[in-house]
Amino acid sequence: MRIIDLGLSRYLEALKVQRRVHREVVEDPSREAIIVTEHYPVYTIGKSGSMSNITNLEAARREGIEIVNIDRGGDVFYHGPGQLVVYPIISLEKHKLDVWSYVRLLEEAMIRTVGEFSIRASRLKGYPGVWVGRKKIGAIGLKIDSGVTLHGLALNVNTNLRHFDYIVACGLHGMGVTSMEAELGHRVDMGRVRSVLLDKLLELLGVEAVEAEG
Amino acid sequence: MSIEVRLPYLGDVGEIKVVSVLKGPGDRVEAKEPLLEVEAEKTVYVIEAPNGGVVERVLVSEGQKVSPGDLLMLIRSE
Repeated sequence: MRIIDLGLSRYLEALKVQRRVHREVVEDPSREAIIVTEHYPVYTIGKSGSMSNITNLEAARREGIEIVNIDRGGDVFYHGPGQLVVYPIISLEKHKLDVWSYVRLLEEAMIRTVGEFSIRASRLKGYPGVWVGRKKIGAIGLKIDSGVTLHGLALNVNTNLRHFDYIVACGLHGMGVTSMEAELGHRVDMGRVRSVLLDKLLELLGVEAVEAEG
Repeated sequence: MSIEVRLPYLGDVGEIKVVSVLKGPGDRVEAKEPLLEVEAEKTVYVIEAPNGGVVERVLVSEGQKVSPGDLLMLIRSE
């Protein structure tokens, strides 16, 4: 499995990389890759999302948060520095996965990862993602095209949670968001989280990292 | 002859909704061209044309809930 680390990226730049890799994998499943990045501040609105869930547009503009409509599932979400974003571009068939089991696998990778840092997270039936109580710590949004995945997961490590105040995250009222930093009361080493999460993901997929690209 | 496009089994997912209908009656489509998109479990799933032809009928509309096996489109193959 190729690991492509984009470092800190603009959302749309990373999306171009996703689409290029997706085309490669549709042609040749041996080209599967996991893209890892953190994004510059951006609100993304998914296919079933609504602009009205960005409740404070003025604050969003003032703080220079981009707004992008995209083709993944789900509603409005925030990405920004301190949030670990992982886009596995894989063939579901090759891994004997369906939509349900792939979503559960991504959740499992996040639950096990935060568990290594002594955070107890779990699933909430009917609400894909990973939760600490009724606060979301890890989100999922996906697209499956030609049997190959796009988009992926976002885990709040040291995310600026204030940027979630301007939206109804995932279109869910009455639920909150949290981060590993907020749960532990101190900043967490992003490099370590990245390495643990990739290990868990590769383990769950039953593959090994074979190559790294910049 | 008409080819049925049905919703595949996506696993033990909850509600499945049609989010985009990309082709309409009379549209010519190539094999593997996207026809519709459904969403379940925060996942947009693209339904492709099983073969080339002309869209004969569209049996669902955007926002509609669907279940695995439901007939979504009919394509007249040539």
